[in-house]
Order: sequence, then structure tokens, then C-alpha cells
Amino acid sequence: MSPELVRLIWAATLDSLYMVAVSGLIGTLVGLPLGVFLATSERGELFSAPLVNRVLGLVVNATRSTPFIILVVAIIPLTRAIVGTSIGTSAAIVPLTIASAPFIARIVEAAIREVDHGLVEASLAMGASPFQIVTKVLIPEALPGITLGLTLTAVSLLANSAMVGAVGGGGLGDLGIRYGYQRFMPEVMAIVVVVLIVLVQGVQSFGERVARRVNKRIRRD
Amino acid sequence: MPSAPSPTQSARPAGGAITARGLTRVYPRTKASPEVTALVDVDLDVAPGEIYGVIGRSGAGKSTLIRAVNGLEKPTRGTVTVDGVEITALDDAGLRRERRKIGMIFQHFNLVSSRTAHDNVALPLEFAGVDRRTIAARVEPLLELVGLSDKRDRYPVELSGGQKQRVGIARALATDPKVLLCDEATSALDPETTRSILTLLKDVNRGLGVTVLLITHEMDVVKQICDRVGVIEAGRIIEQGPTYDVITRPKTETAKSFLGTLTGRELPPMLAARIRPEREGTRQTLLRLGFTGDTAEEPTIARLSRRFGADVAILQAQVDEIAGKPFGSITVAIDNEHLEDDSIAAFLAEAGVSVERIGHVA
Repeated sequence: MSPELVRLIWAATLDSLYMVAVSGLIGTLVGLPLGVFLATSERGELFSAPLVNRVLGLVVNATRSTPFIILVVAIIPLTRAIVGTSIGTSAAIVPLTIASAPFIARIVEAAIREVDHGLVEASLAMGASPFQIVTKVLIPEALPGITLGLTLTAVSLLANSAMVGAVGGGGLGDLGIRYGYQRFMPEVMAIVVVVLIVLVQGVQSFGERVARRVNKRIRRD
Repeated sequence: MPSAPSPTQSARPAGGAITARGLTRVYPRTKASPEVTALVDVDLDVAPGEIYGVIGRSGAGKSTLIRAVNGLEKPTRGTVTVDGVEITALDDAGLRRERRKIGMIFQHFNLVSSRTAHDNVALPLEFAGVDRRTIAARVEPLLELVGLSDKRDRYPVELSGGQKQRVGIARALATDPKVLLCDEATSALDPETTRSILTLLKDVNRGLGVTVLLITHEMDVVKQICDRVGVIEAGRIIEQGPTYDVITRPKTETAKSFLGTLTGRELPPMLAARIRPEREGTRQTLLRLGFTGDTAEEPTIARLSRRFGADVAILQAQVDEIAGKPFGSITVAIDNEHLEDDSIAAFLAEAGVSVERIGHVA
């Protein structure tokens, strides 16, 4: 393997990780509160707002049902407005974030709904405000589920990031297509796949370890 | 403040009174169920520092009643006042503030699984915005009070049911409440653990002066710790008074039959089916004799048998301890001929035994 190739693969790996990290982070910042709200805003719940709940649910579903590659192209004007360009690794972060936020929201919503309603009741009886119940009870109790969900998100972001080559975003997927496919270098394709497998494995086992750590519902002697 | 200070209040300054007036709760009709009336015009007076039990079958309205006391349940009509503050008139912020004076424990404990015993007890203090140092100083003695100092860093999953409820009690007491609500607090526990939790509740009540309102379907709970009891049936409190009086001498028929099933005074179905209301054509009369206080230890039946030469068949018997006093209940069959005159009735009355005529058998 030529040093040039190693340099290319290393740069592509960093690009991929950069895209996943930034879009995952922003996606979480948007998706977490959105998920909490979706889980607590039906009629009679902590932040009862059934109409808003329904509308947000529709928006989330619409985003999630749009194929990623179409989303990437469809929001090019928006991407240009935010980043200044629609080409490159930074530009790819916009569609990646927009795709991950609703995904994270649904995962957080499901994890929060799993929390025993008795805890909300007990917290109310202790004089907690709805916001305190979210921060001190619901999110800590849902944390194992949320952690696993974020792991899932990271993996799917890695997969999606391979597609943003379509708008000139860099990263491993782009490298694989340009060198492996268009320049007939199957060994580059193979290395890209291996690197991706290693990354996914790493992310998955790290996520699982953290989830186990924050899960206090399982007895460990 | 509507409530004037009473002697009880000055003796036990920490407890608050609970008053409900005309409490009614109607759950509107939904797709899944018709309109349900859970409470009908309930009046309740719990004195400061006492342990008051509400006993009833499931679906009788107990849960709705206790949850109305801390505003978890909004009544359709009526008012609830706790320690002089009308709960039903408060806005959200006022309600949050008042709830700190009302502790609550639950059937399924409702501990936060991601927090240790210590941090669960600290939770209501964190909600109240108390600073870290004050929290630490407050939590340790509470864990000690409930006997769990050595479990402070354990998570709920590592605790037994009884220990979880002890954490629940410590947590409920963290904000120094004037009232403690117990929602079926021992129903998920075995009999032995139930006794130890009840003993703890009684200690808390006597030691700190906290008023305790509990709901239960278990007669043993009422018998062991309640000063006064109310019987709830179909959303109404059908009878209330000192525990011993209500259980040993229920006034209404509904309370009688309900308490009968709970105390095990109900006759075996085989026998019950043979009982006839009229005496005509029968051979024996069934009487239920109630022995209260001192009379529970007297050999009254043997004396009756000797004095009147009457054969007394004992069909069912039981001795109980209710609110610290013994209570015996014996169902007997006596030949009709011995009951021609009132001499046996007079004898039993003089012996201090209550008599209830159940019916006749052939």
C-alpha cells in the first residue's frame, strides 16, 4: 500500500468521523428535547399540548420517510444558506443533521415512554415541576435506552455519510466510490469497507458498554 | 386559617389536619368506558397527629380519595384542606409548594432506579432547591431512622421490598411533612415485612407527630395501626369512627357484610345456604357473639352451657387483636327451646357479650 493511499484513507476516515460527530452532536441537541416533548405532550401529560404534539409528530415522520439521498438534494438551497456552499464535508453535515434529529427524537421518545409512570406521579407528589421531572427523573431513568439509541444513530450516520459523496462531501464512502469504483481500484474499496466495519464495531461496543454502565436496573454482584 | 389550635395540636405540633367536604369525582365517559363516579359527597376529618385508615375493596374510590388530598386528582366538586391550606384552590406553583408538606408512599414504592437509596431520599430536597450541604445533613439521619444507613449507596434493584418501602418512607419524610399519605403501602409486601413497615409508620407517627392517612384493602393494616377508620364503599364513606368500635360493632348493614368478609367472620357457604330467616319449622338458632375487651378472656360459653343445660355448637370462632385490644367472635348454634324466654339473652348481656341473631337452621 502506497503512503499516498494511506494518507488518503486516513484523511477520509477523519472526514467521516468529523461528519458523524458534528451531525450527531447537533442532531442530539435538537432530537433530545424534541423526543422528550413528544413523549410528554399528549393530552393530560406533563407538557400537555396535543395539537403541537401531533404536528411535530407529522414533521418527524415526514423527515424520516424521505430517502436520505433525496433529502440531500432537496435541501441544497438550505445547505447553501447555512454553510455558504452546498459542496464539501461541512455542507454534508446539514442533511446528516436533519436526518438524524428526528431519528434521535423517536428513540428518545420511546425510551422516555418506557419509564414507569409511577415515578412521574411520585415526583409530582414530592412537589417537582415538570422540568425537574424531565431532568432529574425521566432522562436519567431513560438513559440506558437513550445511549443505545444514540449508538444506533451513530452507526446509521456513518452509513449515511457514505452517501454524501453525491454532493461532494468527503469521507470513506466517497473515497470508496471514486477510487474503488470509478478508478478500478478494488483494493481501495476493500480497505474502505474494512475501515467502516472496524468503526461500526468500535462505536457499537463503546455504546453498549456505556449503556450497561448507566443501567442500574440490572443487579450486578 | 380556619382551624383553631386544639389541645391535640399543641401536644403534637408537627401534624396537620386533613379535611374534605363534599368531595365528588366523576370520570367522564371515554371511548373505552362509561362515566364513572369514584367519589360521592365524601366528608373526611383527620385530626392532627392521628393515624386514619380508609378501608375498602378495589374500585371503591380509595385511590381517588387519597390522591385528591395532595392534588394529584382534581375533584369534580368539593374541597380538600390540609393543615389549614385549601388544596383544591391552589394554582400549580402553590400546589408544588404545599406538596412539600405532604409526603406520600406507594404500593410499588416508585423509587428512581438510577439513584442510590441516599439519592432517592435526597430527591424531594433537590426538587425544593435545597443546597447540597443541607441535603447531606438531612438525608443521613433519615436513613438512620428507617434503619438503612448501611444501604445508603445501594441502588433500588439491590434492595428487598421492605427496604425499598423504607427508602420510600425516608424520602416522604425528607421535606419534613405535616401529613403522610400511604397508598396501599404494604399491599406488595409479605405479612412479616408488612408488620415491620407498619411498626415503622407508627413510630414515625408517634415520634414525629406526623398525621398519617392510609388507604388499604387489608383489615390487618387497620387493626394494627389505625386510631380511626372509615369504610368506603361505592365512593361513599359508609361508616367511620374509632377502629375498635367500627370493626367490632359496625352500625350499617353494608359495613357489617363488608367487614365480615374481611375479618373472616363470614360463615362457610355450605352452612350459609341452609340458614333461614324465619324460625318456623327449624330446630336451632344461630347467634354471633362478640367478645370485646375483658370479656374476651372469660369462659362465658361454658358457663352458659352449664347454667341453662343447653348444648352449644360452635360453628366458627376467632380471636383478634384490634387497635391493641382483644376481640373475639364466635358463631354458635343453640336449640330453639332454650331461647323461648329472654334468660340467655339477659345472661349474655350481663356478661358484656354482644349478640347478633343470624338466622335459623333445621
